[in-house]
Amino acid sequence: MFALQSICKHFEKRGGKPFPALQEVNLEIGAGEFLSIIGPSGCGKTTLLNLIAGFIEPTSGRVLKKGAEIVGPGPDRTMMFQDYALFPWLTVADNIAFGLGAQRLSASERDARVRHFISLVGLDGFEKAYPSQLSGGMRQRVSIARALAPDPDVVLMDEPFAALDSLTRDRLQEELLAIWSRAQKTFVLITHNVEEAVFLSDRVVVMGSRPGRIHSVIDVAIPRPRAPEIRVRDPLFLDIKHEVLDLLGRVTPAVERH
Amino acid sequence: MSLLQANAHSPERGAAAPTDVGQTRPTTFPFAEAKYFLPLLVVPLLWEIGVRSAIINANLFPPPSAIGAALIDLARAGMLWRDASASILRVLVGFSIATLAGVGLGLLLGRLSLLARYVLPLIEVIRPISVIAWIPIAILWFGLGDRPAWFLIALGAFFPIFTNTYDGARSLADVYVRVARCFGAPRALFIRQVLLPATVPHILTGMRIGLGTGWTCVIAAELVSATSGLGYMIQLARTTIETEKVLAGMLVIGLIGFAMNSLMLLIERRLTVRQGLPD
Repeated sequence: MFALQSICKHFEKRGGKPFPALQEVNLEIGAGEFLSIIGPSGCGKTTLLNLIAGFIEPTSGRVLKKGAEIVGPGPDRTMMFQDYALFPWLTVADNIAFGLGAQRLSASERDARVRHFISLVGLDGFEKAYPSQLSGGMRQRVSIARALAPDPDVVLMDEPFAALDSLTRDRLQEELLAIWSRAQKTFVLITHNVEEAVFLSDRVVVMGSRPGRIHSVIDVAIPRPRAPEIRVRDPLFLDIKHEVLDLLGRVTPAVERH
Repeated sequence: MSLLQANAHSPERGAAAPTDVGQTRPTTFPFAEAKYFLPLLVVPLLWEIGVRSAIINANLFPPPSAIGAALIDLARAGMLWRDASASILRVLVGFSIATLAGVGLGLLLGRLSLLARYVLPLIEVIRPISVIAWIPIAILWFGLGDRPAWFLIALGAFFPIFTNTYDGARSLADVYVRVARCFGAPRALFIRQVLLPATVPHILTGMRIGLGTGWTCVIAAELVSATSGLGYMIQLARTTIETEKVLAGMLVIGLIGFAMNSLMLLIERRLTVRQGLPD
């Protein structure tokens, strides 16, 4: 589905020499895959996501979708933003309909699509609610529904759970997983939480920093559906989790370890 | 040096810190309780006592009772209504022009920063020219009557509306722009569902301040370039040395301005709350 080939991305530092955010990154993302990207701060994981989204262009190398180079952002690659970035002045239904803005749909088609995704994420009855009236979990579901509505090839997620307490985080991960299996879409998630990455993903990409690069890619061969309790009980889960933790320990410079 | 000082026209907004999404809290309606009107009764009362005990010169400071009588005279003669409605009508025309121009240009420059860099210096040089300084050229251009007044009101009301709209549009949170780009939202949808709603609180603040400015401008315009309106009325009363009528007219000017501002505050509050902003 997606292929990143020999990607290098340099950012101009103010008055200084270019700062290499990503160096020689190669990655393939399969259709329907749940892929997580994990790494220490400054490893370029957000840069990688922005490249796929089309917000930025690589300095060298190519980002391909189905063999064609990606030019600019588009509703075929939607994003679930940090803190959800819902419009506080739009209702749940209108926020989701905003995701369909680029498509020429009749009002009835659009309403039907919105209704479909509202039930997919289990928000029936909240069509007319405003984001401020929803819990954090419900806002996340609106954000996913908005991202899924244009029928994208991939949904990109930039640390959606970063600001949450661990209980909420666990619950929202389970919800996300359920929605992913219902939606049958490719999901790419950025996180700095190992358990989250392993629990959700088919593969975990471990990145290193200075310069940002892919260190290793771990297959998570845990059967689905995955029950919440595998996070504490399943020996295979714990093995993979420790493997990723170990890799992260190796790629993280000593000063950044806590 | 920043060309456009934030909040240049709205000192009230400076106190409430704008939140991250570029929203401002609605200004609190300050006249909610009757007791706050007490000074409006006490000061005229002291004034009346001062005149009656001959501490204050009644020729220069006609007592409130005389002003009240003059007001009733003016109302009975029908002049008050005619002049007040003439002034209000002029303000509505000028204010509408200013709103269209100020909101339009504010949104445009707020989103097109390159264009703004070229246009703002022009605006900032014109802005310090007081509306009073425009009166001579307005008369030369438009003659006497409604049209110079419309022009002067529109000019005075334009700047607060433009400045606030511009600030609002410019401070639109970057993430909302990214959301719109990500979903490929067409420009019309972006303006209707993102830019305008995010900017509405700023626009309303600008409109409220602009309406107040417009109301001061209409009086200034009528003093010299009109043959009707409250400004013309007090000027006429001055020439016939009817001091109590001058003050009665001023009182009406103040009360109508107060009513306009209160109405705008109510609209501001109503619309901002209904938008479902974070509570």
